[in-house]
Amino acid sequence: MSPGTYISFTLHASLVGWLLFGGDFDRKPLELPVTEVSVISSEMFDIMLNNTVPIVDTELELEVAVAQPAIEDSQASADPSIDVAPQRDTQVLRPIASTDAIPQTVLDQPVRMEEVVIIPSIDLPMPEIEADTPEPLETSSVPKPRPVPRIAPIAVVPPAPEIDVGDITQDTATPQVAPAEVIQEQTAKAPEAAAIEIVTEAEKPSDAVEVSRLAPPRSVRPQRRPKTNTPIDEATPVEVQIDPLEAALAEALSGSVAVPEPQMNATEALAPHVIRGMQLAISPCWNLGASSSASLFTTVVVGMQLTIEGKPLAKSIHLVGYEGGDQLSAERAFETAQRAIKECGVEGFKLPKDQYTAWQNMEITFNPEKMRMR
Amino acid sequence: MRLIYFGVLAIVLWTGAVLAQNGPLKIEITDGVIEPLTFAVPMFEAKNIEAAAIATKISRLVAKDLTNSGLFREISANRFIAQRTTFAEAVRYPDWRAINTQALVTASVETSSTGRLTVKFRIFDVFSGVQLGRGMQLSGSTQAVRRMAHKVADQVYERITGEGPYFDSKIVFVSESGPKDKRLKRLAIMDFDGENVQFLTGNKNIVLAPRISKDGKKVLYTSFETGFPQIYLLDISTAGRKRLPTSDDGMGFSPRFSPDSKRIVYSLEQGGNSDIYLMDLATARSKRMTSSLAIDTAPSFSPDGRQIVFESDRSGTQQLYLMPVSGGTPKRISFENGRYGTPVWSPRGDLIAFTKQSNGRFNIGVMRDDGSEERLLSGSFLDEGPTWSPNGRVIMFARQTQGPKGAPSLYSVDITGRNLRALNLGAPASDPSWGPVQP
Repeated sequence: MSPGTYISFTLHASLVGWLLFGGDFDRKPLELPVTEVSVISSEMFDIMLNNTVPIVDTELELEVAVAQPAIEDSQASADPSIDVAPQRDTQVLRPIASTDAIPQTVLDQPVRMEEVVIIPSIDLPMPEIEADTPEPLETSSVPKPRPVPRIAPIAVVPPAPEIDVGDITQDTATPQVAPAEVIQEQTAKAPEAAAIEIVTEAEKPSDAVEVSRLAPPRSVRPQRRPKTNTPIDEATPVEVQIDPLEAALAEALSGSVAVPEPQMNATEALAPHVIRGMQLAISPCWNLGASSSASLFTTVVVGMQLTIEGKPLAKSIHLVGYEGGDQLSAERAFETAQRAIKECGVEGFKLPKDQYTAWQNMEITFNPEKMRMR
Repeated sequence: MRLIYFGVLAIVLWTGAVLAQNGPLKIEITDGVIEPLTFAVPMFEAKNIEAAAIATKISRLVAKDLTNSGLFREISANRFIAQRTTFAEAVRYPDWRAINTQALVTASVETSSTGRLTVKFRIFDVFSGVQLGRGMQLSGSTQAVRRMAHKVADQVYERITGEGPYFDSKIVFVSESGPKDKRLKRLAIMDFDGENVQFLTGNKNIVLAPRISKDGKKVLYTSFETGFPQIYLLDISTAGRKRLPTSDDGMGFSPRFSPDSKRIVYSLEQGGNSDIYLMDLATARSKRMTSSLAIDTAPSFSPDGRQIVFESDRSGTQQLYLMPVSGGTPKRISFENGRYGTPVWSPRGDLIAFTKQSNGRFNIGVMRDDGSEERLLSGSFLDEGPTWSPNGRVIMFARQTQGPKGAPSLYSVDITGRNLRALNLGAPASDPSWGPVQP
């Protein structure tokens, strides 16, 4: 025979031998799904349906119990990591009966329970006196100042001035040089200086003191859109308030009226530091210390309107939507957010009045993700 | 086609831009503060002279309950601007805002000639300037002053926080006395704040691990009355008890009720092996749930009654396992370093409390039922045996002090890990089991 025949014979013999014997060496029994089924009596069926104790022959029940194997399972798995399902699903022990071997013993004393308290859901009438309605929040949290007499009832001797005695003595009664004339010159020059004040202000600031005091600290015209990649300095507090009096005077002097840029989104129209300032203003009042666990997983969006002074209109505060919780947790989360807005906004948020239309309506998302219990 | 596509896209973008132009300013707040909410409880108004002392007591108890929860901080009465607040009087919100009061509780108390006590109360959100919920009215006997106060506090707590109530609840525990080597133990029951302690058993036999049923009417416990541990069922209202027929030759211990109080799970030790069993109280039939060579013990039902969590050393160290009540292979859920024991499922079902021993200390901790988000809430020489408040917000446990004169006492902690408080009972106590809120 040729070598190829030998090789073919050897390979076929190996294949047949493996098929006959090799597969059995490591064959594992198939895992069959097993469902434990137990035959229950009609009495047990009654128990399941009616949850009542059946009328059974106790002796017979005990016989069944004796007939069953001991509780200790001799076939328990030797492998401690695998828990073998119990072989029996029920084991009859001694039933609870009035003839229990151990009698019921009355102990020290029964526990005295107070009368059950009833909580009827009664709508108690509200007080007849009308409660103050903080809408908008004009009410200051600071107590109103009480009037005090500006003139003391008894004259008080003025304290002696601290006099630094110098080397040169001088008569205190030395008349000043024409003081009235100086005042007259100032009042007479004021209108004239107003026209050339901008030109001369840097050179002669003393001549333009009055006007510069009235000028706003910055232009009240809408600012250019800020660059989005400008880093925000979170450490420094934001000062964005412009005094309304100063703004009005500046408008009167310049003759211009602040108009916001019309083609901007409300959020984009405001500088990032203004938005950051708003966040910093509300955060200290957003107190989650008394919130439920569920509320800490609920994000609420609160909408509101603000006055030109930056005060939230109480009745405009509403729940826009919520996410991550149920209705109850959303309501509690909304109350917490509302409390924060009203508490920190009682004096009005510091927002640029010249951009009022940009922040007149707000939607604030209160996201407690960072505040959750970990 | 491409022109049409870009045309539609341009229109959509333009429309969006126009709409966005008129939209509200959008701000996101992600940082806040975690501080107790300030509240004021002006002295409750007494409608008659007889009610004056009761009104004072109830108002103080309400304030104490809220303060002890750790979620509230009381504004002292000497800071009040409005010195007198009657129940019918309209609230002067600016006065309360001025002293930074966020919540206000006003109430009136009235007693009748027949011994009836009536408490009416309202809750106000000061900064919002509104009443929270509806005014409520409680009625009971003059002997139930403490319960009335707890009920008022529960309503305030629930309305403001959104959590369920827990002040008007009772706790069963083991009261201990005597020297450490000859400690006498007896079952006792008390109010949640440690008041009104009453004993349920005598001190002749050692008792362990009482577990109160969800309806608060029965207590399971382990007693050495027969010389070795057996499980007993005690009716609180009658103080009657009976031994449960677990086995004649084994030791039954560590029982716990199912949520419907119709079944119990317990451990049975026979021949040096402990396994978990399930017993139907109506028929006294027991079903074996585990059959490993390891020590399986401390089972606890899930709130839906479908699963149990228990401790086992089948892996070589003491760990927590989960398995269906209907049977099946237990699944290990604790994998961190240390030994875990005495698991208890939260009544809300979201967490499992446990005792953990690691680095020479015992801790009380919580984890999800898949073992994730493990957090340790306490740690000491020996902390053990956690039990949940009915609302799943507070955990009570026993802390043993070190030394020959060391004694256990009860502590509570919020699930945030804050507000760890010792319960001053004046005597050693251990093995607390928190009952439900009373109806």
